[in-house]
Amino acid sequence: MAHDIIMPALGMAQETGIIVAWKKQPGDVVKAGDVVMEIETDKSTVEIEAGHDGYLAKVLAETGVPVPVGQVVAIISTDAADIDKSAPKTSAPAEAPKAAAPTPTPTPEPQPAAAKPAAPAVERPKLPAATGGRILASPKARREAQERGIDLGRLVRLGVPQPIRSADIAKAGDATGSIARTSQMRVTIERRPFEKFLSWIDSDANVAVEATVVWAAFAAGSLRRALELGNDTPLVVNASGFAEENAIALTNPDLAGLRGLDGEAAIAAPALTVLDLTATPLSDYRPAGERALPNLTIANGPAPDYLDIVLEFDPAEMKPISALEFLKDLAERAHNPLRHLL
Amino acid sequence: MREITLSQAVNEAIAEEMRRDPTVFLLGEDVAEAGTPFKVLKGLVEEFGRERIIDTPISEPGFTGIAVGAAMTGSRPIVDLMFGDFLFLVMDQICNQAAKTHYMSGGKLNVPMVLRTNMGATRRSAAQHSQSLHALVAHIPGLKVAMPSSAYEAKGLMKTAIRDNNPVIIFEDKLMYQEKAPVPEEEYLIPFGQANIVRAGTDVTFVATSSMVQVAQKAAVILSGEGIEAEIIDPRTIVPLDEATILESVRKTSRAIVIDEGHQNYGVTAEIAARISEKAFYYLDAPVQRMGAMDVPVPFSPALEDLTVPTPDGVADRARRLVRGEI
Repeated sequence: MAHDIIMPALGMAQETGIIVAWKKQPGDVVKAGDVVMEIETDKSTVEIEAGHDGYLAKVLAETGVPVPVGQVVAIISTDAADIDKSAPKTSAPAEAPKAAAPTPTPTPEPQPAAAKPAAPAVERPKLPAATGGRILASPKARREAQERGIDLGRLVRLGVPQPIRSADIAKAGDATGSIARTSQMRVTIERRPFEKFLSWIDSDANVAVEATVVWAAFAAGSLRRALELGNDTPLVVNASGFAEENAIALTNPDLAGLRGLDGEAAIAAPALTVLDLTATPLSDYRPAGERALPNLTIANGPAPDYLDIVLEFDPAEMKPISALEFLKDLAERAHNPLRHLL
Repeated sequence: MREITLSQAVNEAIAEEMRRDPTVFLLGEDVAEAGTPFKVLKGLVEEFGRERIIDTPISEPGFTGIAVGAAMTGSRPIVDLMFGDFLFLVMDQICNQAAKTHYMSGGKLNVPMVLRTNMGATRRSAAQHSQSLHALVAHIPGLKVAMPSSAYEAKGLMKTAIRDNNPVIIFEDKLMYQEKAPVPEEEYLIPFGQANIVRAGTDVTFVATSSMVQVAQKAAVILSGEGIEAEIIDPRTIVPLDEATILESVRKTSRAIVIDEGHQNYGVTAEIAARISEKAFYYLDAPVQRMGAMDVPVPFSPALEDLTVPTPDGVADRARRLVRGEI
């Protein structure tokens, strides 16, 4: 026989309540009159009794989180087999009501019998850590930044004091409204050595490998060298041809050897993205939206025997001197691919 | 153009309307024989007689109630309330009767009356004769509230008020009665709900009422010397309020300071600032500022009294910090 304990309504207008503490733990024997939990509403803190004899079989809500009135928060059962000591799921927190949202969450009291009282009770959605919470900007600045596609977080990282004002946005953008937040470097290389290398590994080494993936491996090697990263630093490169939805992620492709270049699903924040347009007549392609940086685009050059390699990077995150080292190293690899294998 | 005082402008407006419309009459304390303590109505009793310029006993609720009744039955009374502070005595007549009669009679009755009174501190009149209480009546639906900022506005708004079929309260700043401004000889009216752009500017908008328009103008001169150009908007009537002109200005300058001599708490500055925040939010580059009278009874001590109202230096300082991004 099982009985639900629900979040009680202690006031007329109460939409949610917060469990301050569990007084019993899953598996504990409870009497009907035993206090099982302490509930806090905007008006008061109240102890809630079990209501039935049995075991506290399962706890379905966490402390410190607003729980809608009426929601089942625990189960009392007369059957010991019902006992489930697993922690409540974090995925079902109550939708915070309008009125309760700004109220600071009361610090959950340490649970009396919990094994690890130090563990944080709740995993809350947080603002991106990179921005240190909400960026302060005037409404006008915020609107202008949105209209021009300017990332306020980038301005903060560049040292623009908060609150960010309209004038700061104007400074960040040029007259056309586009913004010079990325740096770009271009190098033109001969196509032939790389293509000879590709056909060599295809026929002589008997490894079937796509040009895009080889570019990713070369680029990873160049980036590791330019940034002076050791081989123990994992380096993930997202690589794709024209169809970016087919992008794959390669981890340490520069260290894997040509036979081990297996891709996985592309990841959100790679160390580098490689876009290979050589199979298309395009010399450049900029899909809408924010582009992950640094980004390397390889495209057919203006003359048939040449390739254009363009590196886009955020000067706040990559020094121009490193970018130069990177392209220099990559051009050398493309010119003398066997070097890469050594 | 000739220049006349605000006092003369009000006198002219009333005289012209009384000549034009025989249903217009005026009543209040010391209005006939004395021509009011501020001599605004001087000479009117000689022209229009004691039937139409009526000295009343000292009973504000009494004569205001008489005016409400007279207005309901076909006259166009002008009530002279000697000090704005006496509004507290006539709240029922104005707010419960005059403001609601048209609505509660299903439109069968109008209350075409004008209550002219005054406002403004720094006249050393102490806490009960120095208040600016226009927010009290502006809060009540059914009342229109005009706040002339010069002799020109005073005349044009008074004539419009007398012709309006609804109760209108006009607040004249008692410190401005002797101030002159260009006023045309020919007749003109100033429509309600139409703000005046007193000064064009690009960097900050001052929304200023009554004598605060002058304070804003002086602040704008100070700021102009520093390369900050303030735009000054005089709403002229706070009910109805010309929101469009205010919002248009704020959208241009993206900063606003609302200046009014009423107490700041729950006042006219708060109302206008809120509307700007609601309707021009995405154009604001800084928080909207309010500058009202300090929230204390107006002190009798001159040194203290002067501290309670917005000053040109104070406004300029606030604007400067706003433009520099220090607020």
